[in-house]
Amino acid sequence: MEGAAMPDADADEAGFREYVQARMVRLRRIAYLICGDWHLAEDAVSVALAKLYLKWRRASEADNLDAYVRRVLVRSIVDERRRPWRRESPVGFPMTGAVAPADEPEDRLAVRAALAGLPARRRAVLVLRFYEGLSVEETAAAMGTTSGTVKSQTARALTTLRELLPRDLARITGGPDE
Amino acid sequence: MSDLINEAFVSMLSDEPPMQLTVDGVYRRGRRSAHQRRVFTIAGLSVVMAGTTATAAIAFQGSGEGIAPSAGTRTSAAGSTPSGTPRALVLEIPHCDGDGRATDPHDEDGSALPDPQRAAAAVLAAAPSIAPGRSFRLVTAERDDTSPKAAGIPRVRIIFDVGTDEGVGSLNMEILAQKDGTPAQRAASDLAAKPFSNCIPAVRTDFPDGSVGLAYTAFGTGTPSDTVQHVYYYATGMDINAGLFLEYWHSTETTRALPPVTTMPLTPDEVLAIARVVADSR
Repeated sequence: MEGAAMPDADADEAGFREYVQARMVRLRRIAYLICGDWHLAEDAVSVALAKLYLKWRRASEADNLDAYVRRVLVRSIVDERRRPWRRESPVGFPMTGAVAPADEPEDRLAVRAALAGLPARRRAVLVLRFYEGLSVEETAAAMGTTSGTVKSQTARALTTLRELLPRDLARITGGPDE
Repeated sequence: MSDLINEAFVSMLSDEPPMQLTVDGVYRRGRRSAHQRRVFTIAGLSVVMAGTTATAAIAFQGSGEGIAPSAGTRTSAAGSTPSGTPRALVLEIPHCDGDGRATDPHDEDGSALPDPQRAAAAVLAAAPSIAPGRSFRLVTAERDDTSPKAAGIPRVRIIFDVGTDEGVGSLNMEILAQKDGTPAQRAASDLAAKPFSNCIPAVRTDFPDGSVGLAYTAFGTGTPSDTVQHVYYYATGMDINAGLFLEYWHSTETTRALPPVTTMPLTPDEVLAIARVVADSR
C-alpha cells in the first residue's frame, strides 16, 4: 500500500529535509523558466516535493532521485493547462522582456522574447536541454516521453524560435546545434 | 544557438525573488498529503461498500427507473432546478494521485468552440433562472488562438463576477475544443490522471445526453485569494474547465476592491447548468 511508503522514521525525515533544502531553489528556477510565474513555480515545486514525500522511502533508494522529481515537476507544470485552474493572467508569458536589465544585449533580449512565445511543452524541452544541460535521454525521462519526441520537439522549438527572432539574428543563429 | 538560449535563460533569472517556500512548509504539505491519502482511501472503501449495497437494492426492486443516466431522467435538471436534488446518478469518487494522465486537448482549428459573445449573452439571459438571487457581471468573453497556457490550442474564456448578498465572487470558464474521445472517456481520463494540486475528491454527474460533469471539492487555505473550486464539464467536441472563486475577478477594468464572499457564489450544479448553456449556444 502506498501509504506505507511514507517516511515514518527520523532518518527518513532528515533525509527528506536535506534533499528539499538542497534542491528547492534549483527546482523553482526550472519551474519558473517553464511557466514564467514565480508564484506558480513555487507552488509547482511544493506540489512536486509533497508527492516525493509520499514515496520518499522508495524514491530515495532510486538511482536517480533528481530525475524522478524533475519528471513530477515538469509534468505538473505542463499538464497544468488542463488541470485545476489558476487565478492568473493567461495570455502571454509574464516575464516577457519587461524585467530585463537595462544593459541586456539586444540579441539576448530578442531570444528572451522569442522563448516567451513558445508553448509550455516546447519551452520545457529547451529549459531541460539548454539550462539544465540534460541529454536527450534525460530530457525524455523528465518529460515522460521518448527520445525521438524530445529530438523532434527540440527541432520544432528551435525552428519556432528562429521564426520569432528578428531576421538578422535568426540568420546569425543558423541551424540547431545539437 | 544553445549558448544564446542558455544565456537568455540565465538572464531571465536575474530578478529572482526570495523563496517563500520553506523546508518546514514542504514537509507539512507532504504530511497533509499523506493524511489526505489515508482519509480518501478509507472514504473510497466506504463508497464501494455503499455502492454495492445500492446496486443490490436496485437489483432487488427489479427496475431500472432509478438509474438516471441510462434512463434519461435528468433532462434539464441541471438547467432548470440546479439547487434541487439531482436525479442523475451521482458518485462520490475519491480522487487521489492516480496513475493515469489527462488527455491532451486536440483540435487544430477550434471550430467546435462556441462564439464567446453569444455564449456569454446566453448565460446572462439564463442566469436569473439558474442562479436566482445572484447578479452576474461579464468580465471578459474572448477567444484566444495562441494561448501558451493551452499550448497554442484555441480556447475561449468567459469570466463573470458573481454577486451575492454577502459580496462578490467569480466564475472563470476556460473552454477547450476536444475532438478525441467521448465526454465520458475524457472525464474518466481526467479522473485517472494525477491532479496538479491537492488530492481532492470529485463528484461525477452523468447527463442523459452523454455529457459529464466533475465537481471537485473546494480547496485552498479558505482565504478569498487562495481558495478555488473546480467544476469540469465534458460535452461533445469540447471541455469546459470552470473555476469558482471567493473574490471578484481581478482585471484591469476593475478599479475598486469588492468585498469577497465566504462561501462559493454558485453551487457545482449551477456551474454545470451554466456550462450546459454555453455548450448549447454553439
